[in-house]
Parts: sequence; structure tokens; C-alpha cells
Amino acid sequence: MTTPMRSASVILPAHDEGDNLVDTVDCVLRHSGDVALEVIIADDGSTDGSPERARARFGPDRVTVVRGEGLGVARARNLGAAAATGEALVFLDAHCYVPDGWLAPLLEILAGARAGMAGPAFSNIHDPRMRACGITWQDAGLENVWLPVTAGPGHVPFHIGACQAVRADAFRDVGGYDEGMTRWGHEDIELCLRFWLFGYEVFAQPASLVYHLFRQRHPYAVDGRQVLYNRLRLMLLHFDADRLERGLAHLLPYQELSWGLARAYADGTTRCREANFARRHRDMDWFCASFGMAI
Amino acid sequence: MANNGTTLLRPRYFDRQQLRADDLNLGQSYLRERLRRHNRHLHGWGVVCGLQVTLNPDDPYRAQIQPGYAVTPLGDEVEVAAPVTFDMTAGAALCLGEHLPCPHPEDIGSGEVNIIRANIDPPGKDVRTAYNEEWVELRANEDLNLGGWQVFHTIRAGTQSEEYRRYYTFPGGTTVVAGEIFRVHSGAVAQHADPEPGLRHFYVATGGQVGNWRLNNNQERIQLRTPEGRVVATVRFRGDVLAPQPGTIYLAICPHDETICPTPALPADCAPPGGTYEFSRVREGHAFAVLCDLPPSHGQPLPDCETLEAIICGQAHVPCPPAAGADDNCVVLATITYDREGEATIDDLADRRQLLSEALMLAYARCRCEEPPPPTRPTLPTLPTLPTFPTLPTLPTIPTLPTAPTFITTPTFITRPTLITQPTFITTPTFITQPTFITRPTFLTDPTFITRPTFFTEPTFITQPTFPSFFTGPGDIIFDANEFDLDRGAILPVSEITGIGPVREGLLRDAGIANVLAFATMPATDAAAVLGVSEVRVAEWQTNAMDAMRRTP
Repeated sequence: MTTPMRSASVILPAHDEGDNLVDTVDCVLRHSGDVALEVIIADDGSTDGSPERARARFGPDRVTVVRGEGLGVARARNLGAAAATGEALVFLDAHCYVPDGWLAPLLEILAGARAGMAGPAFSNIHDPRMRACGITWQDAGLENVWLPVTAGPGHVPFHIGACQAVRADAFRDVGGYDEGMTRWGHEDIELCLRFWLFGYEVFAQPASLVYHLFRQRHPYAVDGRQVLYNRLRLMLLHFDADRLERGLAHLLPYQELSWGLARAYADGTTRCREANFARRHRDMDWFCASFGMAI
Repeated sequence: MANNGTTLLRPRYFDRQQLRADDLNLGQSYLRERLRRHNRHLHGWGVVCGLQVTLNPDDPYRAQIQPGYAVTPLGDEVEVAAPVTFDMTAGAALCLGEHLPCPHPEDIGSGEVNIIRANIDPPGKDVRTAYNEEWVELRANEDLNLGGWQVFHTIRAGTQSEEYRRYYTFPGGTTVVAGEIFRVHSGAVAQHADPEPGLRHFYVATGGQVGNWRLNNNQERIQLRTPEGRVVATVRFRGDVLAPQPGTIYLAICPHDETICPTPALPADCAPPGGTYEFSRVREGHAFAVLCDLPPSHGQPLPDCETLEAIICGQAHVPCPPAAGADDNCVVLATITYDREGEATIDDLADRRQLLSEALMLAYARCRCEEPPPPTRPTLPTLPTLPTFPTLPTLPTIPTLPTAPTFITTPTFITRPTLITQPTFITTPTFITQPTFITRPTFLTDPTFITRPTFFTEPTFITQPTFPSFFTGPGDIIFDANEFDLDRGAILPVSEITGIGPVREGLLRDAGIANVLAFATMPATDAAAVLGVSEVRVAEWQTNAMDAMRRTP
């Protein structure tokens, strides 16, 4: 059964994104078609005034700014989602160019009841010839590897958080982005995995194209320990013992592993793991077999 | 009792032993030798930190050395605690030869010929036994016929009766070319046993003369005149400032022990007490030295990367470092080269061996951990027409190797089909211009230019803007001619792009971008900087540019 998405909230987490944020909002407003649209900027402590500039330029009836401080990308997105009213939530990085017609194909996918997420094909602002759609893992190292663009929509294991369109009801059902994820890294992959394990489906929609600015540097400090922690947390939340062992083996060379493990045990990751295992309809064996992952 | 050939000796104490100074000193020397051996084998040798060298701008012989620490080839530690100045004059003279009088700078002209150097009767030296050591050196600034030209020198220099006397007349037909350096000696060619190579030599002494000692003191003037008497150049030579001989010297730091603290000692045998002292302390310090040649230890090459990989991966034995000679225990800090004009150039890195501390290596390794996982690189898209590659040979089965990392730390050109089978850290610009198979996690942390199909079959960390793409620089993006009308793009003005008006067109024109195709291939970051807009805006305009060139099906 399909239910057309009649409204969409485009949520942009932002921290000091500068003119890129303003221009991303501009493209979203101009190129999203006829769907009822709201733009929500989840400002995570910007100091450059870019969220305010965007709101002033396009008007408070079109652009909403919700504010936090030191949230990290996962919690910033959740903050934006909490303020959203759309049937579809489209999480979009604040440094993307979206061409005309980018949104409708994503909403079309989300009309399916089992659809949890749809993601576009990505190109690179630095090289507009590049195309890829979807992410997979090749081994227990859990490094993201792009998937090629296919002729039509299809299932993929993951999408990067640069653009993730979700059904609002499914998003709230699975609990949104994991708030235990620190500043940056793997929170997008973890959501996709949770969608799959909790019974939803993640789609690649190559008919939608988003140009993403792959940057040399983040405009905010990213602590490598926290990125490692996020990866560790992802494994602890969802992996069975054997996979966890194989995944941990890849992290052993990092001396920050002890920092990450200590934090994971202190902040209740094991309780979340128990809740996930109790809730899920599918397990990692199914997931890896379905996508041919040797993990 | 086994004797493994070790040369270390240590004392063994026992009850009621009668100890002498030798026994106690042996304990010290044992520990010192152990430390030296440990340093040599487990750490290596070289400059660990600091010890930068600069030259005094007013005196090319005075070097200033910054604080630092080094380990010598024999394993000794040397430390400089505070900046220190070292006078290299004596050492440079020993290596390069006696210094020469220096011409007054204001006398160096720009005529057809310059008088650049002279060795004039060095104080205390009797050149009558070696006339050819007295000479005047000139440099031609253009092609010339010097036939009949004359070199003059003054007699009674510095007095009221100073006057010019002819020193030498160039024979008819003497030609020189621009840039040529030639020398006029006071002696005869027959007595010139070892003329300096690379120069042309003329001799004042004629006939049976062995020499004609003319140049008298270091205040005299040397003058060059044409046959018509026109003065081409006049130079006074100063005796108070000496120009260095050209050549290269090496400033090195060496360990230096100094005995200090004289302490009264008991006299030997039955001599009366008093008056006998022994030094009771040794101050371990350092001394600087000027070396004429690079020590043998500094010329020993380190194993190449291929050898190192074999060693680290357990496929080869570890060679012991070559033993340094007992007199090869200094660490070169700087290489200083003096040219003919007395200009000194210093390089305090080229011949310096660096020894990196474990903390530095750990911090470097941690750099790889702390950088966040980058946006991963898309798999290669379907390409336009690819060049035909030669058939690659079938590679032998690669055994499972330990995952030890490879560090490529200097700019690397991979110009042959390459198989990288270990985790590889490529931390400097790397050019991959041949099919390359990278089958292990690869860290590309600096711009990497990949201009041929590159196969990444393992996770790849790209922490810099190193999107492998088939262009190597601005303007090198190649669009598929089947999909895009490139000729049209090369003609269309950028003002045809929606959003780029005349003002932005002018900015782009100033940046050398005059048409739609050029704009479409311009790096987004550059375009953003030129136009003063965001990369997102540039992406929109570049997409519009592509649309303007796209062929209609």
C-alpha cells in the first residue's frame, strides 16, 4: 500500500556553514517542486550568523531555526525532527546543491509503507561527473564503500547522512538518530542499519541527484576519539558476539579504543544494545547475507 | 665458559675487596658503553631535535647553533642547552686554504672585464719559492680580444709616491669569452705544478725566468687597461677582510669530555704530601668542529623502502648498522659552501641525519587516527573512451602478509603498474600515472593525482581532497564528447549561464575563464574564490554550464 507524501520537512544541521547554508536553503526552496515544504535549520552553536541570514533572507514562514549548542550532528538532526511537521523528513547537509526535481523521486519511494529511508545519487561539487548511490561495507573494518548508480531504485544497505529522506512515522518509530553518537561519524549508517533490523527498508533512488561538497576540513573540531567511539558504539548496539569480535580486532591498533570502550560501558550502550536486540525483526546474519557482506 | 665475543667488561665486587679507581671507573665505563650500544642499535643516530644552524649575515664564518640534542654515530649523547656562536674561520682555512685579500666592494665594476680576486703576498709568506701562488684573477663579461691589454699594479701603495707599474701584457690574439675566468700568475708555466682546473692561466715570467715577483703588499691597486690606455677596471685589495676560498665545509657537533675540579690527591710512594692534584670530575659536553669532508658514517645510505618492507614483513634479516670508526663520532649539522665571490650558502638539512623520537613517531601515527573518516570516494563511474592499456602480466599469488604499514613520505611517482599490498600511508603529493592496484587499506592524506584507472579493492582513507578523478588540475576535466558539445561550450560566453551576469563574467575573464566549457571545468573552490560566492552556488552555475553544453538526444 502506498501513501503519497504530501508534505516534507527539509532539516539542515548546521555549524558555521557560512554562505553555503544560505545557498543550500535557496536551492531547496526553488527546486523542491510543489510539495508542501518547510525548511528547518538545526543550528548547533553557529557563530557566523548564517542561520539568521538564511531566515532573514527567506522569511520566518519558510525557514525555521532551532538552536542547540554542542549537540553533534545526530542530536542536531533529532532537534530539527522534533520541530518538523512534514510527513517526510529530509535530512540534508548544509553544503549541498540540489537541482530542480531532486525531491519528488525521494518522496515517491517513501510512499511505500515499509520504506524507512530513501537516498539520492550523489555527485561531488568538485567533480560533477562523479556519481554514486548508496553505501556498503566490505569487511569487518566497516569502512564505507560507495555503490554504483543503478538504472532504477533498489535496496541498499546504507546512505550517507548528507541526504537521508525518511518517513516521519518510521523515523519516530525506530527512535530517530542514536543520541549516544558523539559529534560526527557513523550516526547515519547506524540509522540505516536500525531501519533494516527493525523491519523497514532503505532505498536508493538514482532519479534524485544531490551535489555534495566533500570538504577538506570540517568547520568544527572533530575529535578522532569520538569518531572511533561512534564506530564502536555502532558495533556494540547491533553486532552479535562473533561480529563484534571481528570488528573490535580492526580497532585494536587504535589506542583510543580503551577510551571508547570505557565510555561505551559508562554511558549505557549495553542497555541500548539489549533494547535493540529485543526489538529487532532481523538480525545481522540476515543483513550481511542479504547484501553480501563478509563481516 | 662461553665467550660470545662481547667486549664489554664490568666489575664484580666481593667482600673485603681492595678497590682501586680503575674498578670504580670500570663500572662507569661499562654503563656508558652499554648506553652507547643501546643507542646505536635501538635508536640509531642523528639530530633528535633543534641544532638549527644559521650564518652571521656580516661574517660568513660565524655560525649560530640553536639548542638541541643529538646522538652520535658511536651512540654518545650531545646536548646544546643555549644558543651558541662558533667561529669557523680556522677550520675553514684548514679545509679550503688560506683566505685571500678581498676587493673593496665599490671597486667591483661592470665593465668588459672584472678583477675579482688576487693572492698578493700573504703576510709572512715568501712567494719567491712559489711565484705562481701570487696571482690576479679576472672575469670577462663579454667576448673579447685581450691582445695588448695590460694589467697594472701600484708600487709604494698607500704613500704619496704611489704609482702604477705594468704587471702583465696579454699576448696578441688572446681571446676570452663572456663568463670566462682567467688568472695571471707571477711565475712561469714550467714551475706551475698544479694549476687550478677550470681556469685559464697566464704567466708573467718569460724566457728563463722562474718568476717575477711584482705584487708587493695588500694595499695595492690592480688595474686593467686597453692597449689604448683606457682603464677598464681598478680594484684595491683589502688586507683586513679576507675572502674565503671557494669550497664546501661541514659544521659538526661532537661529544667532548673535559676533566675539571682539581682535587688534592695523595702523592705516590713516599713523596711528601701537598702539590699533587687529580681531576675529580668529567664534564660531558660538546665541541663543534669544521670537517673538510662528509664523515663516512654520513655517507652510509639507509635501507631503501623495498628492503625495509621486506624486513618489517619478516621476509629479510635485519642488517646491523655499520660500525662507525672511533674517530667518526660527530654529527654533521650544516653544509656550508663558499663561492668565488665569498658568498656563503648554508644548508642545515641536506647532509644532516635526523633521528626521530618515539613520541614524534607516535604523534605522527596518531594523526592517522584522529582524522575523521572522510567522505568516501565513489566507485569509478563509467568512463568515456579509455586509452588501451597493455596486457598486464599475471601476478603471482601474493602470500598473506602481516598488515604492517608502508610509509611513503616523499613525493612519489608511481609510473609503472604497481601492486601495493600493505596498508600504505601516502602523506605527500603522489602521482599515480599507471594502472595501480591498491589492495590494502590505503591512507591518502595529501593531494593525490590519479590519472589512470586505479583499483582500490580495500577500504581507503582519503583525508584530504583526494577524490580520485580523471583530471589532474584546473581545466583538465574531460567531458564525454558524446554527451556534451564541447565545441559549443568553448564558444559560448559565460554570461550565457543563468546567474552569471556581466560583473561576474568580468571577474571570470580576469581569471582566464572566458567560456562555458572553461567555467564548467574550473575547480569549484577556485570559482567560489573568484566570484565571492559559496561552492554551492558555484555548483549550481556549473551544472547550468553543463546543461548549456549537453547535446539534445
